Amino acid sequence: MGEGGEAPEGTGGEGVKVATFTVHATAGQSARWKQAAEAEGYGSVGTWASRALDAYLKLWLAAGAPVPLSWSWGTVRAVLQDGTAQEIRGWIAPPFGFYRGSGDGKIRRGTKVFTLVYIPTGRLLGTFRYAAHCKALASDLARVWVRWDGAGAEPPSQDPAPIVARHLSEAK
Amino acid sequence: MALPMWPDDHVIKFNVRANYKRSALWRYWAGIKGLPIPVFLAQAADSYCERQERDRERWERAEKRRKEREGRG
Repeated sequence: MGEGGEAPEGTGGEGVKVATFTVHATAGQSARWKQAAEAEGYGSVGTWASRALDAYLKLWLAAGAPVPLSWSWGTVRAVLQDGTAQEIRGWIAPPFGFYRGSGDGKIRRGTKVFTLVYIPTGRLLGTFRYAAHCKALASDLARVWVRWDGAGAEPPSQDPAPIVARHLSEAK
Repeated sequence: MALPMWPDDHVIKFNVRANYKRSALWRYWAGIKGLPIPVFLAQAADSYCERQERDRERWERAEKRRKEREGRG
């Protein structure tokens, strides 16, 4: 690849360094995307998809971007489904934490289930297959929930149910 | 053996290109969501399509109401 300044997008001049991503789509998705790309006058789905992501990010940031949290290994206090409170080793980024296991409690290593917990009350927020989904939900909720010292009624300042439901459906 | 990232049918592939500045931004926000960039792109494309379809339906409903009003008036 030759040396040179970055060419303006779309001109494809010499020396333009680009990253390429391969997006997989089902037949239904592909038909839908092709239709949308043609309707907007794009020659290819790849070009349209990059614009779609930019538009998606713009809306997402306008709505309030999730907060990147810093996770560390620690102890998570969770109130399990049977009502008992247990302290389980997991990852924490106050006021959230998640552990390897379901709402019944910790399960043995190798099982792919992670549960996100709101630490001040021990409330279970959602169970996911990947730790990354727990972290993403916590980042989204941190935007709407304030840190609570345990006194008075539990926050949030906004009902978390729609956010949790969206993450649970996206995680499938 | 590693599990496939897309265990369901992934029949068709598209290449999406971006300069390094844009792809770094995508990588950052995809990382916050905990997703690889191609999955993030697919989600964004689906979300964008849904929004376009909703806008089109809203426009069609408004057109229909407008025609009904003109028909009555």
